[in-house]
Amino acid sequence: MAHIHLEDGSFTLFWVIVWWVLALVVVGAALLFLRKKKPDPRKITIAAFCTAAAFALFQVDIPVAGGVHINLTPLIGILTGPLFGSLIVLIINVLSAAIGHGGWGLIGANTLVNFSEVVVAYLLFRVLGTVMSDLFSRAALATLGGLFCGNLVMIAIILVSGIQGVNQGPSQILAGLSLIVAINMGVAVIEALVTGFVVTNINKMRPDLLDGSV
Amino acid sequence: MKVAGGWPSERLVLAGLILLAGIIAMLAYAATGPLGIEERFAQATGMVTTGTGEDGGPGIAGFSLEGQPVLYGATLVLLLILCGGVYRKFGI
Repeated sequence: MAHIHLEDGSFTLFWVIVWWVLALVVVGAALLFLRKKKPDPRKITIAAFCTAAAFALFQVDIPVAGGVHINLTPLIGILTGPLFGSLIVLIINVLSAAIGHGGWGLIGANTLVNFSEVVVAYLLFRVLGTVMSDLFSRAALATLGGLFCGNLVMIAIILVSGIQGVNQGPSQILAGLSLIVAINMGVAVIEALVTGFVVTNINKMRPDLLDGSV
Repeated sequence: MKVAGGWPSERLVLAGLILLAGIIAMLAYAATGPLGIEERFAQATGMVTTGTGEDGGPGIAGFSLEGQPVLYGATLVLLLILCGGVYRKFGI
């Protein structure tokens, strides 16, 4: 799903630093809130499992439309909330870069992209809970919304940063990235259905795990 | 709220969105053709790829790994050990 698949050197050093600093500010703020809030220790366990599961799936290219991968970021948002979610997406992006998936310089930008997916899915899941009774639809719609937002953030980051060494203008890059977003949203459907099933089953077996994400 | 078919109306909204996303994705795929993730980005941004990334190999049944498979396995094992430790300490 939304993940900037560009090589190191695509962005100038200035923008690499800007996105890294913003990502660290987000993660730092999350750590401060977590220290103050004293979260339920069970959430730490759930966050650990979410990290392992998302890392495992993040690297698997699904043979759809030439190769795509799912993120599980909306599920992370729904299960752990944005505070733990920000830490999880940073860890996943660092580990992914460490094994050769994504550039080191793009970790900051990709953390922000994935964090936006976590936050929007988390918020949508809770807001939709006030107007929707069907849990599966609620989780799936939150996932679609979160992933769509992540794609918009991805486009914004690339357009703002610019890409070194290419002759295309912003409008041409926007047109090209729009096609990627369209394909990503097709894959988002798979992720929405997976998230819907997972959340529905968790609700049947352990409804307490869906209560009050920090 | 239930509709005539017995499905909640929310599911009809979801089905409509899924159908819309599927159609748009298929149109986009028809426009770009079968490209890998990196190639699709390179085409979109006008970059020339150097092909220096880690190759995950041919994969199984079309499913392949991005990145180095041995490092992937080692990292995953470490994460699972960490999960086991956290689970023993905090439970769920």
